[in-house]
Amino acid sequence: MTAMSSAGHSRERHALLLMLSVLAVLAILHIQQGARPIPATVMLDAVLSPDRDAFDHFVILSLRLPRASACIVGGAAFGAAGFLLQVAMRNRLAEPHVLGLNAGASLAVVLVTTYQPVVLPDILMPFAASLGAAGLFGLVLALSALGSGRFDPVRMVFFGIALSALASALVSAILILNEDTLEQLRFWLVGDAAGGGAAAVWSILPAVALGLVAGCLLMPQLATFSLGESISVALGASVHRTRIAALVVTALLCGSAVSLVGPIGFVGLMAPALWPRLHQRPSLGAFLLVAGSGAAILLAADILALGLLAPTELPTGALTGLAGAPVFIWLVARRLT
Amino acid sequence: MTSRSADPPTRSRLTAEALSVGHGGQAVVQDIELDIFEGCMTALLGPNGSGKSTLLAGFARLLPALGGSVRLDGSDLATFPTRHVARVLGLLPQQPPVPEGLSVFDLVARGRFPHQGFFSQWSRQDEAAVGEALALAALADLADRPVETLSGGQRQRAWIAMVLAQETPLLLLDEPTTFLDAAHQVAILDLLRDLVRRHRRTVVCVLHDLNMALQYADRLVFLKEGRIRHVLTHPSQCDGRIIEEVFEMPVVSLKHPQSGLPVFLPCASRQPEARP
Repeated sequence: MTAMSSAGHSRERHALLLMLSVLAVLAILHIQQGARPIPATVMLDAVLSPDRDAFDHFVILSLRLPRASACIVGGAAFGAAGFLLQVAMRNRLAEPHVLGLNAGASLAVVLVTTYQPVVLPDILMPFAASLGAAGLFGLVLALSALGSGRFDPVRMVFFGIALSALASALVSAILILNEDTLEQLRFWLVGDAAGGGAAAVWSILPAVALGLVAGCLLMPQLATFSLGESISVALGASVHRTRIAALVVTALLCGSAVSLVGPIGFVGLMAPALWPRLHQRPSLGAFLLVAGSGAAILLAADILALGLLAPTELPTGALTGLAGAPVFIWLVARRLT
Repeated sequence: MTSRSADPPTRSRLTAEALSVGHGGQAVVQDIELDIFEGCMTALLGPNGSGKSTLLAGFARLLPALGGSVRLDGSDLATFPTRHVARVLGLLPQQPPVPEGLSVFDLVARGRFPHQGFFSQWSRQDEAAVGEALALAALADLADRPVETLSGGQRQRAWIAMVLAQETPLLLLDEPTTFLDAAHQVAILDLLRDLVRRHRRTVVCVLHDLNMALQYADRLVFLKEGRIRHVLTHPSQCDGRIIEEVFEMPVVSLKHPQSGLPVFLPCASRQPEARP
């Protein structure tokens, strides 16, 4: 019996190891890439014994490493958020970008940056973005449950798209009226990992760490969800409380990621889809696997964004959209057949 | 059948007191007064829409009491923490979903959820409980098989094993034998009776097949239009009048030649179709 239960664990361990090695390779490729080729030995040097006067070290430490870190932290948050949302709603198509969380977070960031109702320290910006994400998603949930009292997956997608469009229109209107903000947020708005540098990455770390730990703690309860609501209740899971907690954590992770790298879509959809049948077995290992895969996907997208038309840089969000939209269509098509 | 317990049932574990249960504030079953006695197999019977499943859902706290209460060992069920209830009361709903990609072992292991804490995720005790549940359901050889590759009867046994792994003294099952052929029905019912006789579990199940229920259950509860019509403390008390009244169908009574328990067959149609 021990052998049987550990078979799942070792499979999970192998997947985690695979994911970590891919992540490491992508990180090295990402940092190496750029207008100025820098050998791997110098990279190691820059990290281990940084020299303030060496130009290569400066490039790595203040430009490339922050950008790679932004991809890793933001991608992990997007991946984890997508998985939490899909498991909590028992809907594999639930994706933060499609369901309005990204648009809500963007609107919040643009509002706070433009009108500055309060001067927010950087460390609180992810939480403001999360509030925006939670607010708009709450509206999507309320509208899709209207009349029926159930969260119909198709209605959720419709209302998510409609309210995202509305929020984006508001964002455009605000930005047209405020050119300074537009200048400041232009690249961020299409999804851009170059953004804020090291300081920005540090400022979202607490929020992302909080979200990841909370997500881990929710996994055992969420594992009962795949057996249907009646059995969840019969097994003693607190279904409503767990679902609400999972959605709050989703908003926190998603808002934090958006405040760092902008409203990048489809990472939360692709990261869990990489691993077969992960939604049926939420666990600590599965959650870490999805977070790591999200990080790897965003790193890979950013490598392409930098390299595809070099020296012209593409927005990172365009690349995840190019890869993610077909995945989304494929998942929908598979459901329909 | 000779092993049917002759002793009077000991105590009531689960009690409905003036209970009304329903959906969206609309009561489906009303004024239910019922004791579920320890170490007994109680069958809930009645025509479609009589409220059997709703009553079972009320007993399992899936639906809240609209009036009255369900008492678990004397205290109101609604006052217990849900995890505590899950260690006493197991439930198998009607036609649970087929979990894709889970092995039989994984599925049965989910039954250990109420016994696990945040930090003690998988213990020796969990392992033993899952092993025993698999053995009882005769699934030890299939533990590694994905659930979706099992036959209907095997899949139903896997679900029952999940509920068994929960190690609850009380088991509630909603139509555990529906959609199974006769041999598989008998296998499930034999298993349930074994649980009651040898493991002192208390079983309540909604059954559709009246004659199967008569051969296996210790107590029979007949519902009609959301109310209890008859509670029989032994299947031998069942007669044709009860069946005709509850199911509104003329029947003939027979005796099972081996068990001596009643069996009911629908009367032949009084206007037989013309045969060529």
